Amino acid sequence: MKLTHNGIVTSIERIKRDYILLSVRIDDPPVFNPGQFMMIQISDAPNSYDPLLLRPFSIFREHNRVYEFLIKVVGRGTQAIADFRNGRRILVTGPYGNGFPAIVTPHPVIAAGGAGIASVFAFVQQLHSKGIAYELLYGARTSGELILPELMKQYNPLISTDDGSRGYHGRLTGLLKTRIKNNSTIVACGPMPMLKSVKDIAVRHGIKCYLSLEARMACGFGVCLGCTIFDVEGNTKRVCKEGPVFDAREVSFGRQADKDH
Amino acid sequence: MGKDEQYMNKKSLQVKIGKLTLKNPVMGASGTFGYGVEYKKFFSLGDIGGFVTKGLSIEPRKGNPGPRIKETPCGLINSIGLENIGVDAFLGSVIPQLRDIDTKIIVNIFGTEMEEYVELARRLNKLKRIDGLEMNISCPNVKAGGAEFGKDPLVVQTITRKVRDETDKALIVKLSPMVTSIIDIAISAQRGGADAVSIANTYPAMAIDIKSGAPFLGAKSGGLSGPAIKPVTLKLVYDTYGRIDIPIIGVGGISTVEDIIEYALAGASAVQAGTANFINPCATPQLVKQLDKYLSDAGIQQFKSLIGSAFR
Repeated sequence: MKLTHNGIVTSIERIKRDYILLSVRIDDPPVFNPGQFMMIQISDAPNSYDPLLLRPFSIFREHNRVYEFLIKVVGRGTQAIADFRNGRRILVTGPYGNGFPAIVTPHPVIAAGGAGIASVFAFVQQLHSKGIAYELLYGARTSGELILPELMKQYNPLISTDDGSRGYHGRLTGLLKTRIKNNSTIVACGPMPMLKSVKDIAVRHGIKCYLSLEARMACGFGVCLGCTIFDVEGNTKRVCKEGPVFDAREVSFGRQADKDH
Repeated sequence: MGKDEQYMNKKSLQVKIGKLTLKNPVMGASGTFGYGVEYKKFFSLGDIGGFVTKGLSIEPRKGNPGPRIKETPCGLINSIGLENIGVDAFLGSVIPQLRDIDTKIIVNIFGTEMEEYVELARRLNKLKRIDGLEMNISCPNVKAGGAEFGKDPLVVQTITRKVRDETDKALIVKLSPMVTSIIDIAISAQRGGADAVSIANTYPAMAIDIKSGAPFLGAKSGGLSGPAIKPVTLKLVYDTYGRIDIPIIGVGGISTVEDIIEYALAGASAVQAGTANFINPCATPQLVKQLDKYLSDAGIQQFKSLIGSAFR
């Protein structure tokens, strides 16, 4: 399968203050697994190499050869994307990474914290379209920070907000504790402290759990070794290659997790 | 034969590095090209002149704690810390996957003591599939050895000679840019028996996270690469050309065909593209194609005729 694509930006929709939904048409559309990601060119190379690197984003949704990426604007690169104009030609590479496991039945519980919805959404959609029963737990600090609430509605999310302005009052992990059963499998994406709590819950209940991690990376296909993490046994794992989805038991939340958040 | 076909003749791009004949002067640089196999899914490795593997040590290395990379204007600081699978895994699992590849394979080697370089050279010399060795005496990411070897002309000569005595392969020494006189170091490599020098490695660099007030990278500092360093390394190539008799391989920020031409004019016989591979995995074969077109458009029959012409 071809892994480098010429993309054309078809729309940039601003969603709330710091989120955008980027749509890119790819004429030679690659097949992907939910949870996989692609790298998006930002610079106007070869005229400019600033910002230099492509940026990794989970594939949010795809229809009719248009790939959507839900992006939180956090720095220079993502701001530059927010300033893209329709019709811009960009290099898109991927899909990369493993994606979510195909089978998480009998009782998949998907926990998405904040921007974490971007990487689990395609997975939720897949379960939904296959008619597999699941529970989607979706948390944010306030109801105002919930992303795309209208779109999410059809997937019947259980909402949590830290301030109680909507749904469960408290952390998403608090809500998660009330929903899991002995036969649940948790799939989660969100900030590192949240993922650490999710792992603790899964371990305590002895249930399966998959975490989708985020990392800085230069290449996306396993050669730069910029995204390498150390697992609980101290072995190296590339987030881009062996991940971004890991069995929670492998994931170590050491100094690195504290530093990033 | 029509004019176009004549220029398309592969011989126009051929260059020699010691006894190696590269079909074209574009290689993938160590640390950005994995072990080569990772690029098979993007293009046919036979399209490029060669590649240099990730630096290999005798024992596997896990590398530095994260964060390991930081983007800077037109540049990238990395502190990977020479993470690699070690020579046993390379021989056992990588080499079989490289058997049918029609390009030059150069293995980058490093150690923290001279004896490690010697042992690596000895073990790799037996392998037919490997065409050359590139000695990393210049990586800023290991505390012991590494960069220190690269700074003392006498040490460079000695270590190069020791490796030379163990290998029949093309021997390339990759120089540190952070030396008092790169000419002296290049001369030492030549005296030690090197077939070529790669100029140069990354530049020691750092970034500080102003929110935390601490160095951004887990290892505190790393090496700067990318288009930002091209003018600096270009000058090192220019300064060294004519001062040594062995070929120079230009390595530093090469991203466009114009960069390759500049390096050739400055005195490079071949080039390695590094960080460019991250921003486009097909960068190297595209550069070959563009180089072929560039020469043809400019009416230049032989790439090698450009080498060092900035001095004429």
